[in-house]
Amino acid sequence: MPPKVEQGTIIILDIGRNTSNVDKSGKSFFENAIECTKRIIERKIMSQGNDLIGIILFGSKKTKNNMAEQCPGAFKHIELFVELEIPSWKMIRDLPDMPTKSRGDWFDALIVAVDYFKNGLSGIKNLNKRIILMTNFESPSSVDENGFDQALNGLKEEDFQIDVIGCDIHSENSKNNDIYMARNFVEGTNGVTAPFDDTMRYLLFHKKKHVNAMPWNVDLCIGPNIKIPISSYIRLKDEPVVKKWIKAVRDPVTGTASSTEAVAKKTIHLNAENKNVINNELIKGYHYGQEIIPFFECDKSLIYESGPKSLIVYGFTHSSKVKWQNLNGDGLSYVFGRKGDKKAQYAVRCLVECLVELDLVAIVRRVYNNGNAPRMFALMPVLDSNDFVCLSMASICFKEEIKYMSFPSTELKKFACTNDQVDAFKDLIKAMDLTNAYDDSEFDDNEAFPIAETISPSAQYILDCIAFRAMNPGKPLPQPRSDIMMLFKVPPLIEKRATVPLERLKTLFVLNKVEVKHRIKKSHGASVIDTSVQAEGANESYNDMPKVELCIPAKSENIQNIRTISPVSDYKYLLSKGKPLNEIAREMSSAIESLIYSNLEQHCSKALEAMMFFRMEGVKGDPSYYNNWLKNFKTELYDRKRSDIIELIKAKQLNYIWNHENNLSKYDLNDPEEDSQIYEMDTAPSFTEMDVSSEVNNLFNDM
Amino acid sequence: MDSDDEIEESSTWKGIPGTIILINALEDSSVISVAQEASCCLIRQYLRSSSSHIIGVTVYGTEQSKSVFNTSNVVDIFPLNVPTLDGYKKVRKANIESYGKAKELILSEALWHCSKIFKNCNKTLSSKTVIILTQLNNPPIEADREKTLKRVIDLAESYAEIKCINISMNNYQINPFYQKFLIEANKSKDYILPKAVWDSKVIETLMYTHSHRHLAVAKLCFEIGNGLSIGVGVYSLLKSSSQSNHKTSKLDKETNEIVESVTKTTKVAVGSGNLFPEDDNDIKEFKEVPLLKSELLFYQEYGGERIQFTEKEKKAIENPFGPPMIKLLGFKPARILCKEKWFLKTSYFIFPSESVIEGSTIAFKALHKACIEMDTVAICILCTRVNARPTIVALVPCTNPLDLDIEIGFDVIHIPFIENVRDIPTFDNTDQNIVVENAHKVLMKDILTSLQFDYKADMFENPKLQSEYRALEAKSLQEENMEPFVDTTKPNPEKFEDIRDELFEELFGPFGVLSTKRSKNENESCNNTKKVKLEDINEDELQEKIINKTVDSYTTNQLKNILKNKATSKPPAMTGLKKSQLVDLVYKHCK
Repeated sequence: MPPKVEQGTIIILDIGRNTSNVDKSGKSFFENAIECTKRIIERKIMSQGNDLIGIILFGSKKTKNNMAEQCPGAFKHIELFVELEIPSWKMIRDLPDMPTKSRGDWFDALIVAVDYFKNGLSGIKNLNKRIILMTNFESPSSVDENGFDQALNGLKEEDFQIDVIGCDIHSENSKNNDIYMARNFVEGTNGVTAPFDDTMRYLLFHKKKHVNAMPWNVDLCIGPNIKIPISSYIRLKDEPVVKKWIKAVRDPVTGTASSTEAVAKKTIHLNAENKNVINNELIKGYHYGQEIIPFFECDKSLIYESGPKSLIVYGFTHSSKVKWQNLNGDGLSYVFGRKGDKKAQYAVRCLVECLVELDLVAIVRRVYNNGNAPRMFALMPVLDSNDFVCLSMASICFKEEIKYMSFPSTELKKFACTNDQVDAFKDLIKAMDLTNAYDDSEFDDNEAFPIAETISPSAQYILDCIAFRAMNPGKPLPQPRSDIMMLFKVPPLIEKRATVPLERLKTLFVLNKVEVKHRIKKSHGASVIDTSVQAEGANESYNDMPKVELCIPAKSENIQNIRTISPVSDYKYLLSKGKPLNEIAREMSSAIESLIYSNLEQHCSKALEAMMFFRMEGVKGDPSYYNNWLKNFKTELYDRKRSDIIELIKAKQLNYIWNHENNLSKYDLNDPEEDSQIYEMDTAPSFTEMDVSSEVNNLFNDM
Repeated sequence: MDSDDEIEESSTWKGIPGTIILINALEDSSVISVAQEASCCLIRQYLRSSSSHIIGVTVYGTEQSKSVFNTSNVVDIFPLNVPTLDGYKKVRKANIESYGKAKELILSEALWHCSKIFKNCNKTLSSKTVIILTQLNNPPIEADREKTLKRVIDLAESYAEIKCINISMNNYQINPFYQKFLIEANKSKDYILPKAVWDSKVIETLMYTHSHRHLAVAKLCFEIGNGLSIGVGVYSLLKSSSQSNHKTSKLDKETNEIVESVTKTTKVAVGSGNLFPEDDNDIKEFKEVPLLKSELLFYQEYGGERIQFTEKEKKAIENPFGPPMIKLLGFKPARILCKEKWFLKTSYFIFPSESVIEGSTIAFKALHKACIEMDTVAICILCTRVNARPTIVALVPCTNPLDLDIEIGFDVIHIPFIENVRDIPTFDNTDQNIVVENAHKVLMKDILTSLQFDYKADMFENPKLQSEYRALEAKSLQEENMEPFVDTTKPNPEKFEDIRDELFEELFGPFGVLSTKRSKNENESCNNTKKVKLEDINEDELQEKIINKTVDSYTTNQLKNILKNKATSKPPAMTGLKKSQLVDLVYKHCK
């Protein structure tokens, strides 16, 4: 079956001598017309619809049309350049690149186009007939009043639509009779007209892809006996911009897809002996914990039967109970009473109105097709005078889909915000009102980013790239156009208004960017690390963003105890503040321990640095803090099997403070029994209560 | 606040989460059995999802000591490991009372035991959690209190989370020791006393919540304006419906062993015939050569031509807009966002992240409050991943999403682009002037209110999954008292008994199409002929024909109508019956 054609458009393009004059913008009418035609064709190609395009040139050197064949000598310089066909890149490439020296008659060209629609086509019916005329009317037509009236009546009768692009036919000071006629054609056939710049602005973005609406028909059941026939249509869906990419092999010579080689893909299933198992010897197995349970071993009677295709009302609930978070799925459908069934439409309408009045929504169980797994949906009334009166259907979540996440509490005192801070945000909200984003004169509507009317930047860019590549094979792809990048920008007026509230906000909050520390990557688990590196790398680019560092209290004044951030400086600071040495020493040791146990750094450099400092302090003063702590610490390290750290301590010469370094120390470097002292538990200082478990002893015995 | 630990939390991309459940054996047997039941359910939950989450169940305060480290008064029922069927059965069958009750409570030993288990775990852990199932009225003995707190500090310092679940039928005064305990467990931050819970299902959910690994979709600087940003994490609170499907693998029929599936991409010379051979036999006819990545081209067909891109170009055009980001564009009144009109896909959820920018929580809360009080939503551009398409989103302030214990946050609503909207075909009677009669509304409203219920996010379970689980468990666990399967998606038929459906049919019906298979026209013509023909049928003639056994001179439609209208007893369904069968029915039912 041939695809259903919906619209046939013939572009009548004036390429005569009269189009070569350059206007104020520095472009000739010819150039503008060609550019506009290219854009129209390109958009038609990219939308992948079923519309056909044909091109008729007038003012051409050639004469090639059916009318001229029938009446020799007439309809000269009119060329049927491209017959009505599916738009292609070739059409764009073949367009003439310069105007001719000839002149043509636009009215004759119009007659040729109409004749072509009526007599030149075979096998196409129900076509929307549209003719776009691009001329500046500087080459007058020879048609008389009579012929004009006849033509206009004919066009109206046959439901043609005539558009005129590139010439301001409503201009008052134009006395050109041809323009007067053109205006009557446009108005008489409900056509449109616009100058080039308006047209190009209208054609700025790619049209959305053409999709034929297909209804899903079912009966909406309320209880066993009420069955309302309905049709549901997809209204919103997030679809990929382009179809699945097809793979091809690059030909080393041409750099394009090879015609002699193709990509083949196959999946093989290997068993434990590395032998291929063919498809019909495979069965499905369910994972249960670590076990795999073959499907056929399950009791078939327990397998769920979804039943036939259906839409069954579970009940009605208050509309506020179904929130955004409850919706889980892809898109939205609109539900109407079945087409052609007035009673069903009336029943749906009554249901919609009652749902609105009672502020309820329906919850329904949907089985899309016989035997498909059921899903639950919310049916919500849509009542909009500009839009539709119907029900909208969106999927709601099952219990199994809830992730049950937990988040830290924010109701803590330290997170309390002041009224001033809230008010400052309110000022920002008032300043950044997007419903009033432009000066009245600038656009028809003052709202920025209107819902469902804003274009998707990525979709537009991908289509741009495809169109560019089609016309410029081999050339590097362009960067996104500024028209697309607009979407990432705050409208200028809003940005201006927001300046003052933003400055105020900056003074009210203390926000410090946390520097991302790169952990040293380990060789294993590389793929997982990759993603994190990417994410970090992505964040990295934000680091050049100016940081808010306003009214940050000098940090050092708040230090109460030694923290893991900078233990050495904290130690010095607290010491200078006169904190008792035993407390400082205890805090220092616990800071070092947490640094090491937390595994924050691969090489524990910060912890070792802190230890080195701690030890030096001991060498200078009282060595017992360091030595006593180290003894316990080593025990714990053995317990935790962290011999790597013990080795590091030895390597960095961070062992006990020997008595030759400080004669208060009871450790002698020459005492070979050094390690054995660990077991003298009675010497353990009182502030670390530490029991050495029996396994630790066993562990050492084994060593 | 110490920012280092936050970094650690945010960068735990690798490893698996580990959870140790500690059950207090000194509690009453009722408390213990609730704890045991909840632990079983939790393990079953992990079994069902085949999660890699590792879990251990340990009882403390026992008289006996049976554990890997011979810690006194501690019994390991199931050592920290990937949940297995055996483990589940062990926990299910364990008689905790039989381990005896210790004379005194020494909690420090149990916590030290946990530290050691985590240390000795040979798997990389992304998070460590200790969940204590107990009442919070009996502190450890005096001598153990300091030690216990020390152990708590140790665990907290090694980034283990300690959670207490307060199992109790009623509220009571929590012992001050546990307040200290919670302060230390929360690293000297503020704390909130756990509420008393008794339902094992609720406890299971609590444990599941606590031990659930949740990775942010992205952690971003939310740019409010030039020079002002707050740190946020973007999360998905829901799994997509395909994610929650049961994990399956292909098995070899002979051995029931998993087969490894390998997909090979090769290049073949295009000979005559099949370009993309699917059959294994076909493919051998071609000479297969491995395909290099650099040889691969991707194309799309537009305007009758193949538009080609290299793999690198294909990747580059997917997102040329730079790194992940979220940026404020402005605000709009909340009323513009109707979910019945603009739901495009499952929302995200954002929560402040101190690990990106310190001080974010306060600013986040202030923005949240301002948005609620002004009844506005924030409009932003969001790109969650390097390869994600940027979208416009609305941030809608919310509290307790999905009835979860989340105090604050914003729903991140995807706003549809023009490309996402499909045209709806115009209807022949989108007549705005239809006036719905009051009597009809009264009946409709009657029906709606009689079927009203309170929707809750977790009230519907996926019946297909649930029955699959039960089928698997019936086989693998061989439990006698299996949970009965209830299909939560089907309404209780009793609710519909009082609906006046006959009146509904009278007021609204009959609808042209009652069966979804037949098209409208067929039916309408059917209806018309029925009426016409029915008038033609003469009662006397019918009786005569019945007596003479010449009923078969009627057409099938006439026969059906006779059965519908003249039957003396109720005839059975007539769809799909042959004429002879209909004739028989007429003899049977029309006397």
